[in-house]
Amino acid sequence: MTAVTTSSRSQRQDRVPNAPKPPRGLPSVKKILMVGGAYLIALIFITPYLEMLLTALRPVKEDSDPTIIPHHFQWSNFTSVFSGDSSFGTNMRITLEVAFGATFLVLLVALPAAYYTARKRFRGRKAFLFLVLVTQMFQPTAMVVGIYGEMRDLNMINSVWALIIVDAGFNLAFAVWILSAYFSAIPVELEQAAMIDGATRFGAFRRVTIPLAMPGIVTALIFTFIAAWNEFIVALTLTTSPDKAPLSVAVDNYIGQYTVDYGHLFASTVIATIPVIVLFGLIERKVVDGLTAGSIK
Amino acid sequence: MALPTAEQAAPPAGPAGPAAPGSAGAAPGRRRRRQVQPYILLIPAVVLLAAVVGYPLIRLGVISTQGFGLRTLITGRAASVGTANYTAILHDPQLVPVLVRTVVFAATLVAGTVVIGFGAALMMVAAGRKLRVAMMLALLGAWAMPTVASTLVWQWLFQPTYGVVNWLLTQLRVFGDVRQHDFLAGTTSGFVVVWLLVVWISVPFVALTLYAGLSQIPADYYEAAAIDGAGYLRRLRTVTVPFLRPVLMLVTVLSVIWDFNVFNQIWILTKGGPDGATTTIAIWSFTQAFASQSYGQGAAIAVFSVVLLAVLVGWWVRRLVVTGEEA
Repeated sequence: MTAVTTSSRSQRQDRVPNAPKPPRGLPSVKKILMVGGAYLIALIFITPYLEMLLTALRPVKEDSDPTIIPHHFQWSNFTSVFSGDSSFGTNMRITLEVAFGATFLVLLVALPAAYYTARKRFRGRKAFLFLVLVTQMFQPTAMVVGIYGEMRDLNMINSVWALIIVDAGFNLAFAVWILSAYFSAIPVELEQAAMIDGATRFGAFRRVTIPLAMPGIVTALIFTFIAAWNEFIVALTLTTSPDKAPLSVAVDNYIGQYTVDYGHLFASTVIATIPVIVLFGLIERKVVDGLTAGSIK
Repeated sequence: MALPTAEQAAPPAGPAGPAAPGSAGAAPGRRRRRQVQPYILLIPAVVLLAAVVGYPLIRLGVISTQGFGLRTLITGRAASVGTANYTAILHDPQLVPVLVRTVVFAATLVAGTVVIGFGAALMMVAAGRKLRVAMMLALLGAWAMPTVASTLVWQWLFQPTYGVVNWLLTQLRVFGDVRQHDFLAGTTSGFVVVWLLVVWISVPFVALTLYAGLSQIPADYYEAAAIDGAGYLRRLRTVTVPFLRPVLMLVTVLSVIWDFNVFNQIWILTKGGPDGATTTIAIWSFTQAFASQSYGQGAAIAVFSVVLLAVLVGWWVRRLVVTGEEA
């Protein structure tokens, strides 16, 4: 590159109307827009959550008050979802087992499949990737009849394993595709260099490829975990008693045919969302620090 | 010299780097084993998908050729009707309006989700650490909420008399007093409320996935572009988008598929109403099967919509796979 082209390019750049160069010292228009937008998005996405929290804290007798913030906070909704003959604790345990089980199974199955579709050119590679994507095109409501029949034949109704397997199958497509995209972007030379240094192929995969693909793995992990955490239709079909059902089904029980118990529904939903936030807190560093590799500031 | 593009940035494909010992002079037997290996590593995925999706799919296909109605549930026998269910739905006067509505609905949803999600991902990169974590938590809260609950909270926000949105819009004094307005009763406003809800639920996935993708772009390319005098928008176009293309296209294709099939949110908010204004193909399939108790036709609509979707996204997926080969 020569100095001439650089200057001509920057001159051309100056004439672009929507890229104004701000004076030094003042925050740029871009910065203001981006940070303002960030606050706006955080606000829009947190508002329904706050509304849910406030409704859960609102005493029943204030239900028809037009105020946004209740006059008195009532915490009893949060404790009473656990009390009495409620199986909320059991439902929570089942949901945790299903979500962790499905996430583990998805990663176990998707990592090798994605790695080989990214690294090797074999017959049927395109067909495999396309068929994996086609599995996303079916309505869960259209699939439940067949899944119910299958699980009944296998004697797996009310089994946690049935939910783990179904949730893993439903969410495998995204994991395979996103991991394949990340593995493709990692230069094969890095693995070859590790193998020259004496690492086995698996060792190179574990020590070189996995760490570099971490943002993709974390994305697939969060995606599967949340999808399994919230799966409703299949769980509703495959469980027959309240103490065998996960949270998504238990929460739905607060919706009656004629009335909705909003206080308990929203209190249990807030509680149900907390484990996902905690999981994210544990792996957040991986996502946030992934940015040290590159930045577009 | 031009700004770096994806082609230049992509690592040289093939054995351009130092060849690993063993890979060059491998014995024929070893080479054959390598040929078999991919298939072995794909088997767990294929088995899992066959069990969870393949088998129910065959059942669905069989039901779609049967006169599977309420009588079948009692007697346990279903008469084969051949392609009658398919002929029936193809001649149904509802078919064309439902398809047009589904495509418009999905297209506007995908556009909204991807644009807002991409914007949010870029904002997360530009924001400081604290604001970034706040954004992530807000997005994650929306994403992790059970659909039933988030849909009901949305209904609550737009409710006549108590709705926060009704109150806010009234305070703006632009639309007059809308405190008593029922947004879900109007055909256009009902559509808009459903759209807002689905976008709100879908954006976190797109934003967090694209944010993770952005973290993979080496800073050198931005520095090179900056030296070349490229402004923010130009860097976005010449560095960010080409690098992000595989992930960007993946989330777009998945959004197309998912938004084509949106069911829960529409069903809970409007049940396809008012006047069928929000009856998409997913709702139609469900009401045919369970409300009209014509399971065969419901299954036929489901199969038909998958074939349609596969054709629609097929060429796009080809491009996706090809993009993966370039990298």
